[in-house]
Amino acid sequence: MINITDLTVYYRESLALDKVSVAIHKGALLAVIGPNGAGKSTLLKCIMQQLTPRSGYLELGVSPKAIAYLPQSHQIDRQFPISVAEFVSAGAWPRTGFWRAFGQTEQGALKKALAQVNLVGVDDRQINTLSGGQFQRMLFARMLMQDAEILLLDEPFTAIDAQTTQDLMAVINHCQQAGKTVIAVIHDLTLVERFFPQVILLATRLIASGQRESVMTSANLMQAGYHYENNLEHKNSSALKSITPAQLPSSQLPCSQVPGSQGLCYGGNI
Amino acid sequence: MMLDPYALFIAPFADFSFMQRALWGCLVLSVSATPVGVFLTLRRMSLTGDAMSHAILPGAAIGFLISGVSVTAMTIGGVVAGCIVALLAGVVARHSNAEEDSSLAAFYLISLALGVVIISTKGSNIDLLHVLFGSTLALNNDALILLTSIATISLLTLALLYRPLVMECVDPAFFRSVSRLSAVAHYGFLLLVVLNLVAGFHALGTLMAVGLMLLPAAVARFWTARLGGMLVIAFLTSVISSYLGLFISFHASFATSPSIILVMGVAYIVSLLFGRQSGLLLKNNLIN
Repeated sequence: MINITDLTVYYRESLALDKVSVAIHKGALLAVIGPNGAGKSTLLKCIMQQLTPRSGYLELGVSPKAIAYLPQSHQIDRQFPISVAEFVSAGAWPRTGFWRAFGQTEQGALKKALAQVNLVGVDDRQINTLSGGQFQRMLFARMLMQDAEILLLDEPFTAIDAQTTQDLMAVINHCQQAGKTVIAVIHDLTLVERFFPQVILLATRLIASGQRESVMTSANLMQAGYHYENNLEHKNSSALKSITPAQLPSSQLPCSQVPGSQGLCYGGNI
Repeated sequence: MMLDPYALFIAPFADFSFMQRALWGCLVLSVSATPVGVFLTLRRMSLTGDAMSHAILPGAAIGFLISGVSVTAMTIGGVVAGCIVALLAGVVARHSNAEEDSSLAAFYLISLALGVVIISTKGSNIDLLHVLFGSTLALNNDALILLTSIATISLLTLALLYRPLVMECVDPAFFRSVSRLSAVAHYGFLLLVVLNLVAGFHALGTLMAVGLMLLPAAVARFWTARLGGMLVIAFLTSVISSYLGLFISFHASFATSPSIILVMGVAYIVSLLFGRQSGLLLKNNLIN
């Protein structure tokens, strides 16, 4: 379980997270949402202990080594001359490190991970020959290789076809059923609607957290700033209508529920 | 005139010890500088390498000022100056709004000018040429021992850093998530760059040293899509070019280090045109 209390993070002088408090239980399947610059990736980096908060603290129930991280794919150098098998093998780092051998056990884990994401037969190809979907499958395979307790995914489904998204979501579900904690930054709110029971809504500060139905209310989403950017385009429409269908969870969501009052997570400062 | 292959290709190296020393110097340099160059280009840090090679000059020049043409003094000066500029360039890139390439360009122009001024206060034009273009044909024992030691250290360090370095290149965000040693890999690698540039500086001079590092790597990129293959091809390119460069410079009395770099330049242009990986005249490329 991850306990975050009054976490405040600055990048030099700009505020990235403002007194965020939230608890994430073991076995959660959690989406982190919020507009651009809301601090979603920052939250993941804090959980990985890569950032020192200005104030507040974060308790990690497990060792930082038990965290697997799936970065945004644009951060990866796709032109680097490395094969799929080699790339995925990097997931064994916690066990192999700088120079320990990549033995039979690891070979087995590699085969299994590739099979799980349906990437059999491309192990020997260079990563720059993969399609977008295949590339994402490869990132998932590396994450599976890590065999971690907590999975952090930063926009795993951006610019990925529907079939791949569905397959990889099945992989995530499988991990969660095996007792792993899954925390994913998701851009597309319809995906959150379909797949994630728990949600954290960020806009530098915590807007709401808990069960999806109580968090993704129109009021909360507008408070997080979702309506704002769209209002620029549709000045004449009402604030509610201006949330595009892709972003509006569903029209019958209750607007009056108190966020965080039920469900897995507590906290928030509203 | 009879063309005797032995007299043409072997005799210069068999008969003259300065040619043997030059060849040995270039060969050990090829062993260590080319893999470093391959990683440098893969990390898209070619310009950084260029800037650091110039940055070594003022340090070596101060060493020269203190104790004349001494391998030890110039090496220490070069390594210290190279490390300072490597750190400065990193800091400037992170903490100012200036683009990294313009700050690197600024650094290396300042360094080059400063180095030349320092040498001109004490040395002659010969000394200046020696520093700028190296003394491939006058490598003494001290220099050869230094080159060989640096090659040994580089290879061992590269072997130790190989995995982290590859991970740091491909997916730095992931590597930081599994290891605290991302900075070790980064700065360890930069130190290797500095060491090899200092070694190259003794053999080829400050202006040409970076060529032996980067050109073979650039050539290799055109022939293979595999890292292992690139390392081998870069090494072979460097070895063959070194031999041919020395050979041409001996028979035609050309300046030595520019001859070696020019042979590499020819290899680069040929690869650019005919390389299997995205060479310009490749059939597929023409059709597309």
